Amino acid sequence: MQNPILSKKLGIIVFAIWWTAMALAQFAALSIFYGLKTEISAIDSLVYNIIFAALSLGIWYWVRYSDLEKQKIFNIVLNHLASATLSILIWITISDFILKSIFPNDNSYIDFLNTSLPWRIAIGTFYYILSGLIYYLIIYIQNFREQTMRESEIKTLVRDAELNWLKHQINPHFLFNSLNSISSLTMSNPEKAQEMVIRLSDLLRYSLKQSSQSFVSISDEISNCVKYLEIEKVRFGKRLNYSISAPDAVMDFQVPAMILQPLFENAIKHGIASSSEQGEVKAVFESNQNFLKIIISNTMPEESQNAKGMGVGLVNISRRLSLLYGQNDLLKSNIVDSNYIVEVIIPKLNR
Amino acid sequence: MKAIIIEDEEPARDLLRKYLEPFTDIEVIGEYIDGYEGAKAINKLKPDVVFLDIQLPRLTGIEVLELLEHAPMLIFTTAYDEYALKAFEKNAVDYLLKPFSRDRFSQAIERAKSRISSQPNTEQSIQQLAENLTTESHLTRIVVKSPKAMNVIPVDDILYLEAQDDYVMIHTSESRHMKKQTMKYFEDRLNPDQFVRIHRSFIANVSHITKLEPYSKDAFIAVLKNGAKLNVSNSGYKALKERLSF
Repeated sequence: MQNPILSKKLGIIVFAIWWTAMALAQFAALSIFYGLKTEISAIDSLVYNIIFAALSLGIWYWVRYSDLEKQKIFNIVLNHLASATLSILIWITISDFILKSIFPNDNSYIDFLNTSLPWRIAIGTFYYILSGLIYYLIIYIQNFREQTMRESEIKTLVRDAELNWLKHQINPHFLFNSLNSISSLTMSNPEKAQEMVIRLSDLLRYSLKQSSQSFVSISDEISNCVKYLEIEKVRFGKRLNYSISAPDAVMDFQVPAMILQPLFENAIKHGIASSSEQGEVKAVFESNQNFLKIIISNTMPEESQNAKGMGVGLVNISRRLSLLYGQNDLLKSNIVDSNYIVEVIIPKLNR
Repeated sequence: MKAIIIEDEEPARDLLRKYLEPFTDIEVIGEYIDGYEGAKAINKLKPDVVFLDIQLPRLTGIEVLELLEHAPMLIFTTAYDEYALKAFEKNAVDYLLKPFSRDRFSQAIERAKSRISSQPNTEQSIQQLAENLTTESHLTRIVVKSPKAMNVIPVDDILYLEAQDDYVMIHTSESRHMKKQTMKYFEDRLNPDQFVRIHRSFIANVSHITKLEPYSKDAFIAVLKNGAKLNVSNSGYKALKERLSF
C-alpha cells in the first residue's frame, strides 16, 4: 500500500511545509543560540531535515506492518524500538558524513557536531514518535471512514431489501406459472390442486414472516425448500429430479432467512427450465465447528455449457452474504463434468 | 384449423387442451416443449394457429418468431413479461396472461379466427413483432435460419458482423451466417462493452481484436484473431479508443 502522504496533494503540501518549518527552526537555533555561521547553520539544518524527511516516509511501512489490531502490543513496541534505533542511526551517520565532507577543515563545527550528538538523538526520537503517531492517526481515520461507508451501504441495502423483499423472494414467474398449474389441476386432479395451494400458501407465509435481517435454523430453510421443490416438480414433471442430503448434525445451524431458496431457484432456472431433457438438482450440507457448507449442483443442458460467470441471482446472494458477514468469498461457483456447482460457506455466529 | 402448442409445463399444456375441447373445428397437430423443436414443427407442419409460451427451453418464444418461414396466427401465453405486453398490443396477435379463464381463452380463439380471414399475419409482420418484443437486456445469442438448419450462435463466438445489402453476415471462427437484419439493429442490441461499430460495414467483437495496424496517414485496420483484416473508420477509431482506453 502506498504512503498516504504521497498519494494526496494536500499531504505533500503539509509534509513540505512541516519540514521547511523544522529546517527554519533549526537554522534559527543554530545561528542565534549557538552563533554558527549563517552558511553552516543553513546547510546543517537542510541536510538533517531533508534526510529525516526522506526517512520518515519509510516509517509508514513499519507502522502498516505493526497493525494495532493484528499484532501483539509487545511486538509493536519491539518493532518500533528496532526501527527507531535504525532510523536514527542511519540519519545521524549519513548527515554526519555529508556535513564532515562539506566542511572537512572547520574544526570548531566538527567539534560542535560531535558534542551535539545527544541533542540530535533526542530530536530524532521526537521526529520518529511524531511521524509514527501521525501515521497511526491516518490509519485510524481511514478505517473509521471505511467503517462508516460500509455501515451506510448496509443501511441502504437493508432498506432496499425490505422494500423489495417479497418481490425478490417470490419470483413472479414462479408465482403465476404455479397458479396456472393449479388452475389446470382443479379440472384434472382437484386433490393435487389443493395440495399445491397449501404448499404455495406455506411458502408465501414463510417468506412474509422473515425479514432480510432474521436468522433461522437450516432445517426450517430446508423444509421450506422441499415445499418449493415439490411445487416446481408439478410444473416441470419428469424433467426435475432432486435430492437433498443433510445430516442431523447440521440441522440446528443458524443461517440468514431465505438464503437457500434462491440457490435452488437458480439451479432450476439453469439446469431444468432451460432444457427439455431430464435434469438433476443436488444439495449437500456439511458442517464443522466454524461453518456450514452448502453445495448445490445442477446438470447443465448442452447449449449452455459454454456459459461463464454468475447470474444476477447468485450475485445478489453473494452480496447479501458479504454484507451480513463482512467477507466476500463466501459464495463460489464452478463447473465440473458439465455440472454447475455452487458452494456457499455460512460462518457460525458468535453469540 | 390446425393448431400447435409450444409450452414446457405439462399442467399448462393440459389446460390448453381442455380449453380447446369444445372447439371441434380446431385440431391440435403437435405439442412441443422447447422452442427449437417448436420452430421446426411450425415451418414443417404450417399450422393456422400457434399457442406460444415465451420462457421456453433452448429458444425463447421471441427467438422462435425469428426463425419462422410460415406465418400462423399467434396467441402468446405468458406468466409475467411486462415488456412484452406493449408489443403484443401493437401487433396482430393476442396474449393470455397465466392463469387465464376459459372465457378469456375463447375470446382469443374468436379473435384469431376473425383475423385469419380479415388480416392474416405475414412473415414480415411476425419479424416486426419479434423486433418489438426484444428485451431491454443485451443479446446473448443470435438465431439464424438457413435452408438446411437453424443455428443458435452465442455472441461470445462472434468475431465480427459485416453489412451486405439487406443482410448482415455474422462471422465466427468456424462459419458464416447470413441474417436479414440491419446493422443498426445489432448495434443497438449487442453489449456495447463487447461489440463496437468500427466502420459503416463492420461491428467487431473487441475481445477478438489482436491488433490495430496503421493503414495510411490516419486510417487503421483491425486485425482479428483469425487473421481477418477490417477497415476502421475515423469514428470507429474513436469508439475503439474509448472502449479499449488507449
